[in-house]
Amino acid sequence: MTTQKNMFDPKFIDPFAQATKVTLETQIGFATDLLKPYVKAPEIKLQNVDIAGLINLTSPHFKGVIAVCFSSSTFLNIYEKMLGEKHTEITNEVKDAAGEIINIIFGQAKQTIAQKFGISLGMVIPTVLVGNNMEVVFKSELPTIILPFKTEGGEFHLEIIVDSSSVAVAA
Amino acid sequence: MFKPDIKILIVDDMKTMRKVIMKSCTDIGFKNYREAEDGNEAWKVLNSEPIDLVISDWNMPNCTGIELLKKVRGDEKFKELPFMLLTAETEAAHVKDAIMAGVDNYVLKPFTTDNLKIKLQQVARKRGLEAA
Repeated sequence: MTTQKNMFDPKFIDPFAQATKVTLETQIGFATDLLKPYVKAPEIKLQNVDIAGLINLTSPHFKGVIAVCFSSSTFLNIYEKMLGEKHTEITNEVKDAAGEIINIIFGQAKQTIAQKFGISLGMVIPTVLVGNNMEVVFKSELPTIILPFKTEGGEFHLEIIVDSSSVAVAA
Repeated sequence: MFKPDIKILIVDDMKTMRKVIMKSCTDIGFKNYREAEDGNEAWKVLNSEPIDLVISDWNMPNCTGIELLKKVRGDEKFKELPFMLLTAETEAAHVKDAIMAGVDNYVLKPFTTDNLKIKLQQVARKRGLEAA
């Protein structure tokens, strides 16, 4: 027997939180702590976002978007730790790294979602946005969940919307 | 320890990841590299100069890592060429495909330099890339 789940199911958030922590700690080498997640609201001031890597989550039964958002100072610290190269601004070369980081986070989460829930997410190409103090806005009626992280290189956050309205799971 | 002057072909469509792999390999002790953005470019490099080891991403446009691996193993010249795949695709079916196609080892992203070194040592032992 199967049941239709509600549109937003928090259990699909955790794989992305864990994947982000593992990616930052393993690939970058920065100790990373997940702070308290919250729902994005106009009155809550987020940290500056100067560079963001985005990926659309696609599957016949699972949709959403994830964006990993950094201030330029945090991202340049991460880049230096990852590649041993110091940069003082976001160049095209540096920009490429944001795409790779979101790719690795996605790959990790994809694996967990497949193992835990039997849902296969499609392969996707990441998009990287660069600007000064940007706001990432998703066109969706669903809540945007903010997962804030603290690392040795500074703070950053993951913005995530997951629409699991058509996920049918065993009751 | 690895033989000195091993030339590694690093194949990944993301420049950052090629640099990450090169940084890790340099920390391990390697110093000779060639780079390619996808399997097609890698195939051209393989046919133009001697390469001792390939480290290739799985997911790339044009020609993927597994397609490159199959091409390499299907060619008499390269069928013994040490070949490692780097992937975030860890579903059992994909790993099985790679093993069936003749991959020497695979590394899951994210990876540490120590993890990459262990995998490379396994390949070196199997393929005679260890220093005497």
